[in-house]
Amino acid sequence: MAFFRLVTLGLALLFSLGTAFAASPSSLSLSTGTEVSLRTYPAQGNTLLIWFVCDEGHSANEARTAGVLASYGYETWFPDMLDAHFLPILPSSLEKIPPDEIKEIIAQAIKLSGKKVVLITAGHGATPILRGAKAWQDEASEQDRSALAGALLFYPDLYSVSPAPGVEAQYHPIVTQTRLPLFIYQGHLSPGRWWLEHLKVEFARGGTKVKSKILPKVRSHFYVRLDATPAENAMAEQLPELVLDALNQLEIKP
Amino acid sequence: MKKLLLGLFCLFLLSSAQASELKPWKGATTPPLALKDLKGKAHKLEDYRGKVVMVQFWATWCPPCLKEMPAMQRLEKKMAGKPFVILAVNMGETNKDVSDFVKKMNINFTVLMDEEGDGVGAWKVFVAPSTFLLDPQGNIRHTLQGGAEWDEPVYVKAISELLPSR
Repeated sequence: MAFFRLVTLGLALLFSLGTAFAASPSSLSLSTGTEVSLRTYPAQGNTLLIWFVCDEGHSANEARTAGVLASYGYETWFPDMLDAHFLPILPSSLEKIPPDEIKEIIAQAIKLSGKKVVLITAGHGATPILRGAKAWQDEASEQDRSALAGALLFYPDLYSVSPAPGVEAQYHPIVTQTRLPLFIYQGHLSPGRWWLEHLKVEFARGGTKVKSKILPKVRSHFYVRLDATPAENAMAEQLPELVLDALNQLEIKP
Repeated sequence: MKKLLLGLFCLFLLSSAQASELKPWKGATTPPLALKDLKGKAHKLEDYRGKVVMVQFWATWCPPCLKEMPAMQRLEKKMAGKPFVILAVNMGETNKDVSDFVKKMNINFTVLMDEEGDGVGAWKVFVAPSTFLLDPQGNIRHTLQGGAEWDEPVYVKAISELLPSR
């Protein structure tokens, strides 16, 4: 009798897990004709992180982080946008991703998962991701809009043109158009740290209040660098905690 | 693997393409620069009137900055006896870190410490390294973003053309 109870319980558990994880697709078909493959780290919470990584070759830290986050109930999807567009493994490649495709990925993710969504990206990925977020918000109804809960940006590069020495930096218009809770991590060893407050003021002009933290002893791209210093490797080890802390500060629960 | 090689190739192309070009300055007046060197001695840009000044913003954590340091040393040697000076402005590192680095690299030119980022802000520096070439009257004449082999003829010529005529 006890054996049957155990088997029944086991089957029920397997079934419930299967149901909970069934919503994670292995790819997304976009209306542009682009087929985007996904790596997914399912979890049972109500928050889905869509993490746009700058490559798949060096993303071991992101993948490990997603595994840890899943144990906290945060599901993560990694859409492989570079492969979908045959783009080289470069941080700047994310810049070439059509914002409309980001919009569609957000829409499909919300629909398929039924969860609220948080976007994560780094460097040059910030502009297309925020543009995609805005495009999605523009089309979403007032009551659906809260499904996009925020974005976490690592060392974002939001310049419309590469800033020349001595010349006032021009930010992409999306900075003042964004209406989304944001958290920014900026490396201490980067000129960007001197301009973080300036960037936050620009976001505030559009109505977005940004929370941020300067990470000591690291450069930009610290968790994907081939020439990472011991301090950068140590910070990369803490990537799950960094993401959790940012989500916590944005008051986004699993 | 193919992706990785393509990426490395693109990075190589990018770094070659950035074999940097001097840009003529079209901006406003020269911002102030008043900083201390590693020994605590105060330096002001006005102290260098009558000389061509190369103001460069750099950091020890920036690979292109480190790469160009030897070329800057050679440039200084090439310009020896001429009214030319290099002011290398460190971006926010500690005196100890920079002193150790300067000793290790055997750097002779003047290193200034911008601990609070005042120079970075006033000179609008967004990328390391960023370089400004000033004429003897203290006007910015050229800028350059990224690293350069500063002792190459193209840069020596540009600097020489700014020197005061006798």
